[in-house]
Amino acid sequence: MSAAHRSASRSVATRVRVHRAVNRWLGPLWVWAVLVTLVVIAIYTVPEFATVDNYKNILKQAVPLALVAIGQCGVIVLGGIDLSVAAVISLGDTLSMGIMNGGSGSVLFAIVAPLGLGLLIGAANGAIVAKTAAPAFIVTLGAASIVQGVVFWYTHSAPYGAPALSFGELGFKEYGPLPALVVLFIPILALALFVQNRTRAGRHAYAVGDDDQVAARAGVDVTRVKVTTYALCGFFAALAGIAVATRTGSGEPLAGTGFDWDSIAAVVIGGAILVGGRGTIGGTMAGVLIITLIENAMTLKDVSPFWQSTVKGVIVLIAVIIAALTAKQSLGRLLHWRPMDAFRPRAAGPPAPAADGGGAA
Amino acid sequence: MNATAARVARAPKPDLTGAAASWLVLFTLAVVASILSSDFLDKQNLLNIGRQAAPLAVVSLGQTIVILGGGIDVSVGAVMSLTTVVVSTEMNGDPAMVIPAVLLVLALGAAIGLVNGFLISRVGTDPFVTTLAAMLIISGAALVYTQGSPTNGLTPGFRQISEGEVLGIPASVFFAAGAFAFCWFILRRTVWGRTVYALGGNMRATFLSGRRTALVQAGAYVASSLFAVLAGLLLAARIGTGAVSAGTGFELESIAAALIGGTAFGGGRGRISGTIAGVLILIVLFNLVNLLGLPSQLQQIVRGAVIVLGVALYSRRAVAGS
Repeated sequence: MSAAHRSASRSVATRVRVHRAVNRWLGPLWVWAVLVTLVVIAIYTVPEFATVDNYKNILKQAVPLALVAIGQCGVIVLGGIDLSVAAVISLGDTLSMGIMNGGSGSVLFAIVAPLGLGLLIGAANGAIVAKTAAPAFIVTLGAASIVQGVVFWYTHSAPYGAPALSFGELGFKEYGPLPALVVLFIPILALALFVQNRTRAGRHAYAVGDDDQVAARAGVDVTRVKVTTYALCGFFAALAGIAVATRTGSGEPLAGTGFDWDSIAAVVIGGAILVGGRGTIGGTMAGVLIITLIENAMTLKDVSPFWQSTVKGVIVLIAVIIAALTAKQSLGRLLHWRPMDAFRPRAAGPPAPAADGGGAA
Repeated sequence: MNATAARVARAPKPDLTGAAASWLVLFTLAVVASILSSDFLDKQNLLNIGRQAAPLAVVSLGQTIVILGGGIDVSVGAVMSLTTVVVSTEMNGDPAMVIPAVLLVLALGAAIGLVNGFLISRVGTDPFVTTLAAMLIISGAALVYTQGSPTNGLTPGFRQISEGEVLGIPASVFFAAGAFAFCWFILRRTVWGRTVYALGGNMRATFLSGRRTALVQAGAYVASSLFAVLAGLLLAARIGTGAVSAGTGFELESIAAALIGGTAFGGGRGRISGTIAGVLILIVLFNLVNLLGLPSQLQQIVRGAVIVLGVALYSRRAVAGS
């Protein structure tokens, strides 16, 4: 091998590594491009949008959805779905408010109890999905009905409890230039990204989502992966409920309404497919920001809230059409490149445009 | 060879396990219910069960067709809600407007089904997400259309399709029976119906056998939407008003009814008679919870538990032996 050839192939290998890393940690770049485009459009068309306070507001508003969407992303990568998150958020919100009860109860217990319960609900979902032939969305929708019933029973269908002073401030405090909620969210996101990309658990989730029988034969404990992932989804939903609680004066029995569809939409916009094996937390975060940004811009523009559901539906539809066309490789040539093409002789030039999944390797 | 190929393939040997088991469960449940509550076998209560079951039965039949073909339609609840608000607004109390209003919602339903079907069969989008997006769009459209307030305007004559009685039986039960007969005929006695089963069994093999899979698949979604419209009409006639949330929950219950009735998730196997048993199991259980006078929160918990347990116990996977 000549020295020139060796150095060329090393630079190619570097490029491959970079492309893979970008895809794994950030998700498909076109989703981020869409986000940037939307921001630019909003800056020029929506009054009051381009202010520091509004940007902070968007980030703060995005935190609960981002938390649920991390859990939802894990479940969707498995090839499952969790529709119980909305009810679990309501549970997390009302239970933590109920325990704190305006400061007379322990704040620590008000955080730990909902999280433990969320973990349990998720684990139950996961166990049923893993052990029976029941489709995930039926199991989790049924679970949603049960949990929401419990929330109504617990709160007597009315706003319930109140935050302790230190807890309630959290929703409005700022650490440095950023809202406290956002600062607290960053290490959680970093941990989730680490688990997705750098641990055996993350790898196993993709393996199970791709083909659970093959994964089982390769020695993966499929049941354990499923139960753990659903349990984490329940945990994140409860955490999102607590995050919602920091911003309100009392626990709302229907606090979670809409978070189920929104979180799925965020994951799908982020490039995941529902059959599993594809999807990234990075892409999901772009999806969360797109949804939050559109809600924010519509509110600032005084668009009737009745339109929000329709607009979200249209966005999901566009995302799912792009995903389908990408899979068929017709649009994929424009939107994705295949890092492996870099290995081919002509790849010293710009990366060859070809279709590849937006998911992690 | 040619002669047999040209003829409509005979229905395969009926696989009674799923559907028959569901009817057995229903029978047992009815016996238990009549022991637990003396009001259960009351004539008025049974008529009520019939009235309640009719919309769910109709929408579940359409859902079963889609599931048999290997898909899923979660937009049916939103289509039912849209039907109730559009039909009551357009009718606006005028008996002459009944038929135009009904035709309008049927056309809307067909259009929604066509869009779903086109995207799923031609563009290749995921059925769950596609119909989910349709659900969001339709329920948003219903909100914009009504500005959120319930709509009144159903004529007393229109309400007779649920409230009226023929031979002592609610009229809506006859509509459900008609829908059942129609479904049975197209699934069991037409090439289209056989192709739906084949699609759910193995779409690629069906395509390679020369069937127009995309057309059949799209047709299944159109059928599902049209059945949802019919169910929405029966529902509107029963509750007497149009509301944007009238159909909420029907997507879940219709899928649950089909699966409890022995239809395999993923398609290919199942019988619509089982779906009817699934519908009646759900409705009888809901009715029983009502009769026992449980608080409403507990009712919701029981509904969820029934659906999870029923589906977990009775679901079958599409691929045998997996």
